[in-house]
This record gives sequence, structure tokens and C-alpha cells, in this order.
Amino acid sequence: MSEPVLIGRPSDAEIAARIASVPLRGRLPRYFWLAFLVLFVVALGFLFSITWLLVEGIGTIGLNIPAAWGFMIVNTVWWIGIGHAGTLISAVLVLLSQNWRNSINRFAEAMTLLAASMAGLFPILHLGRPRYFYWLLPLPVTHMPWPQWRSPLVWDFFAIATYILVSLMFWYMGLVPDLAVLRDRATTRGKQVVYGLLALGWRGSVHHWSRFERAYFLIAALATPLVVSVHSVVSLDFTSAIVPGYHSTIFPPYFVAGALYSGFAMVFTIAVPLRQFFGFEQFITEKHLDAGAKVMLASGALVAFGYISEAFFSWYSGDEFERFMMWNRAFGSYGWTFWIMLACNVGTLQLLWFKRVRTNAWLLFGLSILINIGMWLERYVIVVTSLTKDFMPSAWRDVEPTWTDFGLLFGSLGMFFTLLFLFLRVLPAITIFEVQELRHEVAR
Amino acid sequence: MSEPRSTGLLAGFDSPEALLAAARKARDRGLVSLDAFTPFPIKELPELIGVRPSRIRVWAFIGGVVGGLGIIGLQLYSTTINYPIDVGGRPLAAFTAFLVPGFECATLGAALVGFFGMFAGNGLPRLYHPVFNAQSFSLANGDRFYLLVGAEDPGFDRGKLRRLLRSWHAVSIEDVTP
Repeated sequence: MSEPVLIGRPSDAEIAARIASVPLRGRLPRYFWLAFLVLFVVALGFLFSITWLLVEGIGTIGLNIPAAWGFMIVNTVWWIGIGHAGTLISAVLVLLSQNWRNSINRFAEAMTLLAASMAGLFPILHLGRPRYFYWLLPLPVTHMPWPQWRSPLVWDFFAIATYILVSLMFWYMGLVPDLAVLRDRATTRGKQVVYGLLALGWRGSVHHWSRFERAYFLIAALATPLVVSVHSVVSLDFTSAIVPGYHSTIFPPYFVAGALYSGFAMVFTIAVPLRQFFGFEQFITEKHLDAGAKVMLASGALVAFGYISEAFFSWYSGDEFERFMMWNRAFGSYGWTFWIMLACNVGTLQLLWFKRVRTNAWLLFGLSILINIGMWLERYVIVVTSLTKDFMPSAWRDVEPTWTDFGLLFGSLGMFFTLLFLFLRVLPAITIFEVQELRHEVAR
Repeated sequence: MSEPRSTGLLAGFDSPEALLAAARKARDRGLVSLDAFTPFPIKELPELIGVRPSRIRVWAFIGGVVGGLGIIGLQLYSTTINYPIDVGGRPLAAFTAFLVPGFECATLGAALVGFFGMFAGNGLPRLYHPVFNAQSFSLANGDRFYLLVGAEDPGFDRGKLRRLLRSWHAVSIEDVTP
């Protein structure tokens, strides 16, 4: 721990004032709203694309047989992957007592919630008849069939729903003491009432804190296996099929590593502008950037190992279809996506070996965006190259994305960031009480 | 009663160390009806105040077992009793497949109990509490640490207690009324 996790010696009151000033400030600078407006328009595009899809039907997106999975599943896997970093930061690192998590966990958890919600939308939209999505639930209704328990789609539903609910509870629980701070700081009646209701009457009694801490650590401990399980279950959607290209046992660990990789990239995409524009450099220091970049480096290296392993085993298997799949991935009609993916995910990763890069905020920001593009392409490569050319050449058919596909992809980004901006506007982006606690620990 | 009803005396301190020292002295004086209010958890405090460790983990474990066994039971019931479908002679009770929802629901059950148990055990939501009446009480800045001596304490003597708290470096002392 060479660099400090907290710069300077802010007093408790300064910490509370600085962090709470964002949600309680009457007016935010104009660039905030300008950026929000742009994102909001994109989010409206998302709603439009969804409406179009629901009205016109599934034929409006670039799907065919054999490529029955396209952008939608790619988006799901990508978003749920991004949603992993929040839980890793908030749950795993709390159990490991890594104090650098304290100032980044709140918005990382919010990111997780929003990303997981985006991920949850796509499989539903991808259904032929989205109105029946609740058939995935074992509801006690006699005219309805039971869910097919052996289907990865049902597992997926349980995994993602559990993940969203547990993340929501964990996030809200950590938020309650901070809502009490906002309640006591608020100057207008409206804010006092709203934050007061949300704070549920939290008064910081030692009895409450004692139970709070036990429950918080408990949910952290429960969320930890979820970090590993959710993406493993999502990867079972792939591996339990026999399509060459994803009928492989490497998938669960490889997907989890990829999830952490892209999740941390998204954390940087949010953290770097956040610390710059709201003046949080004191709380999100170079130590955070460095530590997060190291997690990215480790998980990225595992992803690279996954690529090598996939290529090696498709050769080593001696299976004609597997070998063709790998060749087709690199040199077939979608070959260019494969090489861009490698350049983004494995190429840019190598820069993170240098400490200078790891502590350079805006450089990390740029790398994170490249890495997230790469991670999206990874899922595209897996889904599309495998499906479009499977066993029978007579069944092969390439697929072209339509504008609805792009509308849904970029629209979901717009929706995600719109909601994230609203979160930043009304709730404290950094956990006030944990930073205060951290200050006292550091001072000791 | 002519005297206004009182919940107790609320003393504010300006550091966790001062609060800890005061809590220690209060305990040594034999005061038992103590509570403390802090902006963030303080490690040694629960022991000094005499907080009983919560059993929330036991309850959460039960919640997890109920959630996990419940969904596995439901899967077994639906596939073997209520609506068995024989597909090429595959086993009706496919435990390996059932484990996935089983694991998820066990986690969810435990987390739900942990979350709602925390609030229920703490008696929250409770928007009103006498301590909010105190002018000096505020979590706004996170730099005040309060000790509440309850009026029902056998050793509660307002005048004496005020002097004591003053000598323990309290920066504010206030009567809390319901």
C-alpha cells in the first residue's frame, strides 16, 4: 500500500459535505444536463427499438436459422458480464478487508444493478412471444405448464433474477445510513421527506450498527458465490448445446474471468469522469486506479488463456468440425471481428503491465472503452461464427444485423447511462459512512 | 407528574475516542440503560454498551435451507408427481439440473432473511424516535458521537449525570423528551 486510499486529511464533516453536495445541490452544471440530454435521446431510441420489435415481431432483428441467436444474446452476456464488477468490489473485497473498495463500491453496485437489469431485458425481448416470459416462473396456475427445469434458459432466469435481487438488497442496505445523512443535511422540506422516508428512520444506534454489520457481511458472503455462479450459469446456455465453438468445459471459468474484465473496464469508464467532474480525486485516488487495473490485468490474462485454450483444444480434439470452426473464426466471413477482439482484449491489456499506465486516469478510461468493445466482440464472435457455420454446409447462412439490432445495443447503453446519471443526481455516489470510517482507520 | 417525561440524557462527543472513554466510564459507574448513536460503526462500542450479538446468521441459514430445499422439492414434485414427461427414458428426477435453481434459491432465501431480518430486528422502519427531538442530534456531518443514558436506569440522577457527562468532555448535553 504505497499510495494513499484517501488524499489529504478531510474531516468527517468535509467528507459528508463533499459527497452529499452532489445530490443535495440545487443546480448541477450545464454540461451534466447536456450530457444527460444526449443520453436521454439515445434512451428514447432504445424504447423506440423495443416498441418496434414488439409490434413488428422478432423478424425485425438480424436473426435467421441457423443463427437464431444474434445481437440479443450477445448484449445479454455482455451486460451481465459488466454487472459482475460491482459485486466483486462490494462483496468479495469487503470480505478480504481491502479498504480501497470503500470509495468505489456504491456506484459500482449501482452499475451492477443497472447492467444486470439491461441484461435481463434482452432474453425476454428475444422470445418469440415476450408476453409469456413469466412462464419461466413456477407459478401455481393450473392452466399453465411447469417450467422446463432442465433448460439452461430457466437456470438463466433464476440466476439473473437472484443476482438482481441480492444486488438490490445489498445496495439498498448500504445506502440506508447514507440516506440518513442526506435526510439530516437536506434543507428543503421535500428532500427531507423523501430522504427521510427512504432512510427508514435510521438513527445510527449501536444496536443497529451491530446487527447491520453482521447482516451486511452475511449478504456479502452470499453474494460472493453469486459472482462466480451467475456467469457460469449464463455460459451453460452455450456449453450445453453441441454446436462446435461453444461445446466446451472451459466456458464457465472463462466467462467469469471475462465478466470481471469487462466489469472493471466499465467501472473505470464511470469512475474517471466521475472523479474529474465532481472533484472526487480525494476519494478515488491513484491507488484505486492501480488496484482496479491490476484486477483487470489478472482477469484479462485469464481471458487470453481462454482464447489460447479454445484454439488449442479445437486443434487437439482432432474433430473436423471443431478445427473448421476455429479456422472460420479467424479467417472466415466474420474474421475481422476476431482480430479486432484480439487487439482490444489481449493487445491493449499488455499496456497495463506498466504502472504509469495504471495510474493515468484518462489513459485507463480509453483502454477501458477499447476493452469493452473487445469484450462485446468476443461474445459476438462466439455466438455468430459458431452458429452461422455449424455442421452442414447446406444449412450455413450468414447474418446481417439490422438497424433495430443497433438501436437496441446503443439504446441500452443510452438507457444505462441515463439511469446512472439519475442515480448520481439523487443519491450519494460514494459511501459516506464508510469513507468516514476509513478516515478514522487511516488516522489511527 | 409535574416534571416533563424524559427518555434520558443525550450527550454528544466530538470523537469516537471520547465516546468510547465516556461509555467505559458510564459502564464502570454501573449505568446499564445505555445506547449510543454514531455516524459509522465503531468496533469496540457494542461490547461496552452491552449489545447482544444478533442471531441473524442462524435465521439466514434457515432461510437458505428453506429456499434451497423448497425449490428442489418443487422441481421433484413437478417432474415426478404432478406432470411427469418421459423423454427418451431420461430420468424424471434430474438432480444435476435441479441443483442450479436449488443453489440460486438457497442464496436468495438466505439473503432475503438477512435483509429483512436486519430491518425487522432493528425495529425499522420507524420514522419517529425520541432522539430525533433533541436539537443537538444530527447525523449530518458525521462528527458527533452520542451517548444516551436512559431515564429508566436505576442510577439515573439528572443533576449528577449532567456534571459527570460534562467532566467526560461531552460537547453537548440535552434532555430527550418523547
